[in-house]
Amino acid sequence: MASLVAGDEDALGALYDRHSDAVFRAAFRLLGDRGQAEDVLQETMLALWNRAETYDASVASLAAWLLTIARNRAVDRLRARARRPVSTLLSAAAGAATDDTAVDRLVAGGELVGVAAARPDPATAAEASWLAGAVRDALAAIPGPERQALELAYYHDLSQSEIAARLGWPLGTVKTRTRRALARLRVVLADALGPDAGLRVLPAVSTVEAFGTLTGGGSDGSR
Amino acid sequence: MDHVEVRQWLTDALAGGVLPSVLDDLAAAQAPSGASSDPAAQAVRAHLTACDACRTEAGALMTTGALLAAATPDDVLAPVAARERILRTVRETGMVRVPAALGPALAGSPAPVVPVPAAPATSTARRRWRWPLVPALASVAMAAVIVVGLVVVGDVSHQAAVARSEVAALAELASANGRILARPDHGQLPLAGPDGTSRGMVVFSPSSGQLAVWSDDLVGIASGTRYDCFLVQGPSLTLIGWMDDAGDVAYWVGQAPAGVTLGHAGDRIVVQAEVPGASPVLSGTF
Repeated sequence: MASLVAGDEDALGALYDRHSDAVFRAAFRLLGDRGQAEDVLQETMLALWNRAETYDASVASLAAWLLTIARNRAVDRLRARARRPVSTLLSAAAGAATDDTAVDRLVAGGELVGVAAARPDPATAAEASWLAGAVRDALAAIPGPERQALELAYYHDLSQSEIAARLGWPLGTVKTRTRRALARLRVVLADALGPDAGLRVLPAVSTVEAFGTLTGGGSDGSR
Repeated sequence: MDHVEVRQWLTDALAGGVLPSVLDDLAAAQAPSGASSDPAAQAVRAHLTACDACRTEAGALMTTGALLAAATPDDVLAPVAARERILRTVRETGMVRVPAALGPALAGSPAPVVPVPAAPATSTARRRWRWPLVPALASVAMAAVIVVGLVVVGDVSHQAAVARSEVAALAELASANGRILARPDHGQLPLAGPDGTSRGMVVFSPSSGQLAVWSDDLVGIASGTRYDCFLVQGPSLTLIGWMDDAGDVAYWVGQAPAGVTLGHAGDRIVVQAEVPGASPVLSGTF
């Protein structure tokens, strides 16, 4: 940090290499958006460079300090998102947050924070941990190939073409399996989390109709 | 687009980890200044505007994404391609650190930082320094640096930490102002209090989307009252961010939210405390 304060750009690079993955993960856990998480990572590194003098090792580790900055920036974005006309409309339709208070409640309750909070209180941490565990259990309940397609796309940023090449599947199969994995996940999570989770499938054009039957595997298709 | 196509489009965005951005873009296209050139996005937006069922479906997909994100495994890594871009951005837009320029008097000071213009001394750069804010902020920051030096000499560690924080904050604000004012399209927007007196300032650059908002008149921010800064476009209210506390000055610096163009005639910047029923304490109209 002393080198960074002195303007050493190599020190910045070294700190980036040490902390960027954790900061990116924390932001992604909050935002669920790869591009926005990348923006938060950039803002966090800029804050590190601009405000290195304010870091006090006796108060918190550098990792905790950076995660706190990232969390604040991510929450800024969540709050901005809640004020977007379309997002607000969508959230209202889903029974989710429509105002700051609701967003704060979700964040404070760990629903949006996940495990990204730098220093969550024990109850929030426990709830976040439980929620993450429930999602992991739901993923584990999805047939292997479908889960694999979803995880490679969502968590590891592989395009459908890249997944097809890596797994040797036709492109249409990748699309179908990814969509079906999400449909199954919603059903399993809706069962696990209850009717208030905002995951219900509308009868008008249900996810099942859109992506094929959820029981018995169905056809992988080739669209 | 029919229901199935819209839902598949949104589901693919969710699977790719970009659904929130996609919906943000759709929202931006609704703003007076926004427009989407993507025909598929236009079709989805038109469908969502008219279809309650698919809006509900999109909300459920957002929730699914939030849950998936919360369970992000520890082997997820930052994009490799982002490294050089981010480090370059920090180099180009971060504050300039010139410890040697402070001279021996402050040797050993923990905060050898001063805000200086990052751009070459062109006519544009000279023009920006005519505005009194930047040298004023620089002077305050420099004075605070000296305060830090005195405090550290006195070994009052807590006060030194506070002073260091304020120095860094002021330097960040001054540096951001310098960057924005160096852009040819920069603008300035005074912020007035409820009584109409000038109490703050916005400097902005429409082309870059950068803005800095500051005021020395936000009561209670040092004791924890949080103030939010908003862009008001007709009936649409977009949160820009929380104001940071830099001692006597409260400020926000950074990028405008995605899809927002700064400087449209009639748009407003407002700042208000984050308490129920609060009214704007600062307001300015472009």
